[in-house]
Amino acid sequence: MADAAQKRADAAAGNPAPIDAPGWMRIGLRASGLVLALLLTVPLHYLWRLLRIGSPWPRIFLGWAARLAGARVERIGVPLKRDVFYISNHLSWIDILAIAGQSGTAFVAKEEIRAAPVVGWLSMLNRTVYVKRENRLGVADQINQLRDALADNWSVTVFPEGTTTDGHSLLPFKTPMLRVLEPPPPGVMVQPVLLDYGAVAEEIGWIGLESGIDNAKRLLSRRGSFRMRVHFLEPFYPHDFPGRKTIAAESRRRIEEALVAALGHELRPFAHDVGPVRYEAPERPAP
Amino acid sequence: MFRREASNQSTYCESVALYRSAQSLYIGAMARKIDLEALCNERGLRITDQRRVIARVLSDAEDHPDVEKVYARASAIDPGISIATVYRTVRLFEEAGILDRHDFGDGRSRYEPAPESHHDHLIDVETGKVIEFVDPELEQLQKAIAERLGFRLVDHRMELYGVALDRKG
Repeated sequence: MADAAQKRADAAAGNPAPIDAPGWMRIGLRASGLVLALLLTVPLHYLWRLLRIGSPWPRIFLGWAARLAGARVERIGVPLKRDVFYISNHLSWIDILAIAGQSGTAFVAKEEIRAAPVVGWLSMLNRTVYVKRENRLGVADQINQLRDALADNWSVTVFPEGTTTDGHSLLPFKTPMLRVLEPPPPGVMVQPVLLDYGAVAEEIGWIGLESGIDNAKRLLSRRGSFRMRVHFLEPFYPHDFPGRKTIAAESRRRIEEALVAALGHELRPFAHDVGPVRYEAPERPAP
Repeated sequence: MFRREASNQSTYCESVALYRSAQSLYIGAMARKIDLEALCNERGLRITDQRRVIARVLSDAEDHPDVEKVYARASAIDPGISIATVYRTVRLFEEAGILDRHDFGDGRSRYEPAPESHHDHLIDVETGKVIEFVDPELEQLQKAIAERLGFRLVDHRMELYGVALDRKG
């Protein structure tokens, strides 16, 4: 047990544990599964688009991908599906597979994702709205894009914490993207979402200095499956909580309440950006 | 703990009306069955087929359902109803003053047709079960407190949260 905790801490500190042979086999199997799923769903997606009918294939692919990554997703509550802005806590890339698999939503992602090989292309197929973080002047443009996305009857998900946690804390919500709700487009509701990974939250959470590749390798080489719950919490009308700060605060309040209930204890302050292990470097014998 | 259980277990209301004449405390389902559909007509709300189904589900409910429960019951009657429609309709009814919204602390708003006569609620925090009651002494006391503070009481909300005395385990 202590060994696993140490490995986890090492991974967060950017020193991934070497992957053993069965681990590589699991990565191979899961990766082949993902490729197969892609080969099946992508042509069908293009066919649906050609026929100009709403394509369910991105959602189906992402749902399968969640399963292949080991997540057994349980949905709690009813997602609104249309005219909805989901606001969720964030632990891992698995979040995206799980929420989209359950609701078919598009996401707001940082611009870097667009350039990533394969993932960039896939995110485009799922109608991702890209935002540049540093580009404060471009916010208006991005908001317009987001508004168009909502107007097309899509649902859009944001992770306003802006980064991933270990599931035992909730960071402050950043609000620039919520400007799309100022004023709220007619008929659009905000539905807070809680991702609850239960006992494996700390293991799944992508934190500290671990690189994306190391994280993917670690999760895909993981033995067996895990249960996660996607709670679609009670939605509200944004004009009942006017202003992006108020909307963020209300969403955060609802997610926090549900998270505390799921964890059974109060939230912890988030301290994983600087892992404590960094200060516990193995002692070197004096030369 | 309670939130989990309250949202998982089915909630229901005492359907048997009891009189405890000694304390003149009236517990249970109020003699109601408020016809929301008729009220809609009265208030000039346009009533569509889907709204009619939702109004009926709410009128028939004796358990202060949340939107998801209303949705489950309504879509059993008309599978074409979406949960968004239920949210919209419930809000419309609430704004028209024919539906009351309660927050019993389980993170979900719960609804009942606005009663003609006042009553208070006792919530079993372990099961989420809601019991309605009226106690004339309590009503009087509340009025007296308001007067002592220099107010004329126009309305109040009283929610008691409890654990059943004869609970097992």
